Amino acid sequence: MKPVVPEVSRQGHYAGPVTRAAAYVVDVALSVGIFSVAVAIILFLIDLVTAFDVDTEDLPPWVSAILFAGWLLLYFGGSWAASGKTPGMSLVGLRVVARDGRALSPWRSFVRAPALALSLLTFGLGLIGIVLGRAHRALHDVIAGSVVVYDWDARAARWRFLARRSDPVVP
Amino acid sequence: MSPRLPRPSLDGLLGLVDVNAVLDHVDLDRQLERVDLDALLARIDINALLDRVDIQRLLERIDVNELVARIDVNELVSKVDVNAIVARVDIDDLVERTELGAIIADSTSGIAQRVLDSVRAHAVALDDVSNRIVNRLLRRNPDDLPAGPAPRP
Repeated sequence: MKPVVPEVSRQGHYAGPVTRAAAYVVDVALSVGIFSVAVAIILFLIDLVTAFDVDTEDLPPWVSAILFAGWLLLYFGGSWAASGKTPGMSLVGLRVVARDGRALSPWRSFVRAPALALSLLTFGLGLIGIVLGRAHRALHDVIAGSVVVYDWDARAARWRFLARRSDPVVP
Repeated sequence: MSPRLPRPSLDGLLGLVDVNAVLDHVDLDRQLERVDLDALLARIDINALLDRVDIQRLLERIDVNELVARIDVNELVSKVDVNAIVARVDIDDLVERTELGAIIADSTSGIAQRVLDSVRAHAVALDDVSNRIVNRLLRRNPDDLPAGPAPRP
């Protein structure tokens, strides 16, 4: 059986739309999940420690929106600033770097997060560059001066695949 | 009947000859041109000659350490194109057919790693499909597109 794994390493190559979409889906699910669990725990603790019985439905929508936006800024911006990748990007094997290949600065990382919202709020027009662009750059990449590249060493994965097919070591 | 003259001795004759004067008259270059070196070499039994050479004694007289010390290993290695050598190695075959593969498999045989490799490989393959479709629609030559930024720390 011929392995699916590419024969050459893709590390440092511009990432395509499918891997980036997959990373976004994972990140959105993860960030919403973590936010929901965190809010539930905080409200439970407030209820436990104080006499207030606070419910999420009691909060004005704009407060919830600001809290959620702040969390997303922290989740995405903090992840990019810390390691150049969100948990979703780690899973798929992607990394955000500056256009020249250097690590993205914390400042640009935190600019990229609200710019991502801008790309989504323009009915996805800001994301067209990922599909059609020569370097697969979205609007938020242009604003933050960033590119997304493969961080996964496909060649190493291919060797792992071939290694599993080889004979086991006899002690 | 004529009287018999005494036979001159060869030594006496040679004593009368000025050998240096004779040699001055000999054109050595011309004489050497007349020598067929190939024929001469063909008559030499090289094997017999080599049999008479004491190779062991010859080797004992060679100071290998001094010989090696005179070799500039760095200069020698700098002339070797290591990348070209590595490129000629079929690493896929090496990993698949040697114990090296089994060692790698032992260290990375986790189910999670397998699933991750598989998911990533398929996602990259779908990226390639998408890129091919877009390049065809936009009539772009994939070879003209930049692969990515130069890797930097």
